[in-house]
Amino acid sequence: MSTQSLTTVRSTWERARTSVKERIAGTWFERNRGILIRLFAVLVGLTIWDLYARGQPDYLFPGLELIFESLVTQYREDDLVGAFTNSMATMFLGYILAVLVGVPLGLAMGISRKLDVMLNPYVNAMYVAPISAMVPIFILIGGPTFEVRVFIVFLFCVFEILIDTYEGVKTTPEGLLQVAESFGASKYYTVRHVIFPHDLPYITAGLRLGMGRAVNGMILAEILIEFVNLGGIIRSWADVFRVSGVLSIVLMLMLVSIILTRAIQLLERLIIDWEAEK
Amino acid sequence: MATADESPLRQRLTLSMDDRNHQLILQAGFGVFLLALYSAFAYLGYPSERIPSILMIVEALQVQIAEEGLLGAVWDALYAIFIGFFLATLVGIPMGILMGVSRTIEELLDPYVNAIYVVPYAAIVPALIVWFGTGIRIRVAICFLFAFFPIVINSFEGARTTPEGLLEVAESFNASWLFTMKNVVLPYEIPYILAGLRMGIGRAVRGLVLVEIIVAVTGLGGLIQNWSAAFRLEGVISVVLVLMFLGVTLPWLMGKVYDRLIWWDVERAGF
Repeated sequence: MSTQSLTTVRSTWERARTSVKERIAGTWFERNRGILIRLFAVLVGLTIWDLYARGQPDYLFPGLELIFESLVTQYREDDLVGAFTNSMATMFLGYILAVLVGVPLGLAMGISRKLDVMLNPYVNAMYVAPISAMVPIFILIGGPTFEVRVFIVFLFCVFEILIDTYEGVKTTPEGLLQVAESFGASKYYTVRHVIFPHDLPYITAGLRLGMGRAVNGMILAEILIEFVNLGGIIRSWADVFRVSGVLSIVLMLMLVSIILTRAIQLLERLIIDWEAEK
Repeated sequence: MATADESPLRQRLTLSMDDRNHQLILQAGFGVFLLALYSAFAYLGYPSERIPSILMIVEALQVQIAEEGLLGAVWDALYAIFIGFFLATLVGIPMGILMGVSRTIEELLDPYVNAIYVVPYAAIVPALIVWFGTGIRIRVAICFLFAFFPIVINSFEGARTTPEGLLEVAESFNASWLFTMKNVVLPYEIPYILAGLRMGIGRAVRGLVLVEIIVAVTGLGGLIQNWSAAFRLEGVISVVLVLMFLGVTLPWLMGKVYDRLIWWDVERAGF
């Protein structure tokens, strides 16, 4: 192909693009473009999944319909609602404990130099280390109990919350602290009115990330420690090689963690109205 | 020379030798305190009679290295981590860059990237066992999925935030798309990519640990299973320590590589 025709093709393409752009400018399509394209992408993905599933045995690679049917079966026979409520209760208990420990300890570590130096390497190591590795130890020590499951959820999210809170304190602008100091503000006043407000977005970020971890910790504890609730349902379906029942719970949990994360985001926007001014 | 108006940050960067020793003593002291606390629990047998002393854990570790092929299992684990991580790099970096450069591609792919992030992995492993078996393939698959997200997101962030000015210069010199990619976007990207790789290796290790303890038939997970079936906590703890050691050292090593490669980032940070 000569250079001449290549440029023609190129300019025709450019012209077509701009004309399409002009035509859809300002329309409903352009305003909702992001959502529409994402929806389209998801639909394509689901279609490919379903088409592929048709050529595969059901136990191995279930189609969408079968996954939905499994959910209905679980609702009827496995007490899905009860399992879900219990799972969520375990998770929230561990999560709230983690917030109650993580936020104050993070603040304390950020404010007190001594505590910071002393705990920092250990907290960082625990933050990086794979918590799930410790689960077998707790099984042997604590046995299959509710308390151990709550503790696992706690361990899964506490370091995330702690580290983020700590980060927030540490990044308080030097200038703000100096202003507080030059006005002779007490330590309590500085923490309450300078450090804490700056820290709050970091804390909520930690809460958000911790939420995802809490969901993971909860389901891991239920699959490994005590075969109850949602984890128990997953176990019982996986043991008879019915993948559809596993996937239905997975999809449900994904939805839950998206909704919870969004909820925390909304809360964040409600509480923190001063970030916008910066 | 610390003057009155020096910020605490500066002071921390210019710690004297004395201060550093002081820090070390504090940190080591807390470590000794933790070990002592653990030993006290082990001695008293609370909350369980099975809690082993530190000596027993070390012995269990020696026995496993000598007789039960612990090192071989660690080697297999590392192998799976690196294959999964490598695949995630191969797919993740180009995908992230494409997403950062084109808005349409970003919108097409981001539901999937986000889905990969929110999947509760512990819940999906039982399904993956059916698909991939209990050997190396499931380990590679999970390590891939775990490492993939931070790698994509970071290379996406880097490509997206390439300064407009740089791109405009390239455009006004009539640079081709490929040239712009290679000489403008990619160099700007590299610190982001490396940050993604560091997070990715950490998550790959987490993924491996998850597979080991849920599958618990072969490899390190199999060792844990054997010990816990015999109610020998010292053996379980010794393998868990190996796993946690991997989880801490691999990201640390990656961080060292990062510091070596990105010496220019230090200047940008204003030090």
